[in-house]
Amino acid sequence: MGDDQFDLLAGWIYEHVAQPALYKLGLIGLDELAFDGVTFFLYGVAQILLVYMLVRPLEAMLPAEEWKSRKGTRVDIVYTLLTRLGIVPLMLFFVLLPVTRGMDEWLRLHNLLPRELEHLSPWLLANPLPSFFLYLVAIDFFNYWRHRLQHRFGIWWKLHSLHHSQKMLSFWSDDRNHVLDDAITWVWFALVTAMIGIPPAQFIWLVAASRAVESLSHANVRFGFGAAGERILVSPKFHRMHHSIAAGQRGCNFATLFPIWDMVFGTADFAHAAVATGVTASDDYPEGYFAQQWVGLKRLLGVADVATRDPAK
Amino acid sequence: MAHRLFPALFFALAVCGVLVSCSAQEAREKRPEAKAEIIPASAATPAPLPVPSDQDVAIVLDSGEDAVSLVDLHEYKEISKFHIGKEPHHLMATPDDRFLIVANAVSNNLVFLDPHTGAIQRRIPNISDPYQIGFSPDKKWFVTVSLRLDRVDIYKADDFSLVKRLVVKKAPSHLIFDAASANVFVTLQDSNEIAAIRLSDQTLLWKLPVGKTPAGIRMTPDDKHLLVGVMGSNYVEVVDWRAKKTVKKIVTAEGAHNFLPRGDGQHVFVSNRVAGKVCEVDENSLTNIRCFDVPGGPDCMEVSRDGTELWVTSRWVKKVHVVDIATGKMKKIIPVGRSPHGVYFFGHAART
Repeated sequence: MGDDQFDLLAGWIYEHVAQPALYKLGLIGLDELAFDGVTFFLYGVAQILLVYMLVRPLEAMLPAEEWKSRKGTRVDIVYTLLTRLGIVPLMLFFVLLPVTRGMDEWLRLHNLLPRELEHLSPWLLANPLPSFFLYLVAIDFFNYWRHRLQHRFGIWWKLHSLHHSQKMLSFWSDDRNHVLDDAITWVWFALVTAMIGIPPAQFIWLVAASRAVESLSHANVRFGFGAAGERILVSPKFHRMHHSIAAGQRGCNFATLFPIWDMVFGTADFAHAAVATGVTASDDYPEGYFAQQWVGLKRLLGVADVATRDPAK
Repeated sequence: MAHRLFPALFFALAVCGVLVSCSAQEAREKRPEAKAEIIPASAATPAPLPVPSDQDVAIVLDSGEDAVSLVDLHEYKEISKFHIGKEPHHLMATPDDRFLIVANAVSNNLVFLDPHTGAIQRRIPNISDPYQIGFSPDKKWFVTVSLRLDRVDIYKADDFSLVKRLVVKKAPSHLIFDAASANVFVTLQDSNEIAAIRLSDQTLLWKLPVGKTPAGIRMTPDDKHLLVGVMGSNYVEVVDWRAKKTVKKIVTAEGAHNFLPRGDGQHVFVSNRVAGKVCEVDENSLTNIRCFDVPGGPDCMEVSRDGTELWVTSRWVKKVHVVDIATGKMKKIIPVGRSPHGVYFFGHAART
């Protein structure tokens, strides 16, 4: 299905299903946002299906770790569905709207209009593809630093260690995050947008490109991209090192897409020894989705430091 | 590791800080340049119905692709597309018809096009979130509304310098002026009101409750009534703006949204985004004459000079629908880009 047919399908669903429902509910003011939401949802469905069809066979054929059962990966499927089908992003959008909009309003009232990367060269204004790549690199740069701070500050690590607590790291694990961790990331992204501007029309593709690489980089597969390729794009081997128990909070290989940031800032580790993923007992999380969210919240409030898994399981 | 981490982070944030402050500096410094670039609207010779050229194309804003589609008026097909800026939603000609202004809401700028060919002429930066735009009839004021940020910005029309930024909640959506250019009226989509702002001292005069989710707004040719498209319902609300009261509701179809005069001084088309219909309202009797089907979320419109064709952008289906006005039947369907919004061609009917 081409891009055009995909958009037309989203349009048909919106016009005949979502829009009449919004109208009946008295929510037609959300018209354009909801149209984008339908498109986002469909892209999420397509992403999940595509990644499953392409990466799941690789995990079966070339596993980094042999598992007797994939039961431990199930909770990550919940995270993936909640995130990629737009449920968590939609909730964050409305909850954090006063923060993100307030920030934007304040800047404008002080005559600080958001900057755009296209201002670097008028040529970029007329050439969306190089512009897209530039934004991809810039966003990845800021993601690298967000990720380092997630490991640097103890209070943030308490939340982020949920992402690292998965011992059965798979292509489902990318979205395994505490919702408060997602919320901080959301505000971070809003700050980045205020500094460099993000093209709304390219947003969905920027997200799609990032997610495609991130799904693969979390996959339980034992291959890299070769000596040169490893240094161009984050590979499963490269990112598995980041998830190793040994790396823990100290961390290494923080980049999301481009390892260049780790190379420049001295955090790259291309050793690629076979590693076990997860966290130490003090950072561990229980298994269920709600249990994990609850423990994360308690840790943030300082009322629970240790929440190990039930040994009986 | 921390000793390496923080200097680098500090450097990154410093670079970003410089970028932002440069933007503010640019806002202060570039306005004079912009002023020098702009040909004052008031200096131009008025030309009510200027003559189209053979090069004329229809100009369609693909708001979901940050692009402009140029459409052959005779072949009814897209002939080219170019990137213009982030979220171009609305467009309008300068009062002298020498330029077509495209408002890039997220890029915070205005782009001036050749109204015949669509070729880019110049850009005016640092116009904050221009969602909807309008010139006052006396060509003295240029007003933009920011639906996202609850702002109405009033600029001098001759040099686009900001005179006043008003906080007007919630979600200012569309705007119209009275004939004397004394007031600008704005629909407030999320608070279900219309607001009146006096232009001479840029003061918010009053707000008046109207139907749910008001969108498009139009002044009747006799300057007596405001017509408000009530998108959350199925009617056009008629407001006596001097008396500040609703005097009539004209039922059209679900999702009454935007207006465009037919050009005969008597009728106006109303797009109805939920029902997928365009209706024609008699502005003398304030009655709905007829409705015809235009699917896919009909929004902005344009009427051909000879009054035979109505072009309508359909937001959800990447199409411009061309309707035979005499019969109300679909004449052509033109594929364009994602979420087409504003549409214009030079050889349009009179705006009355």
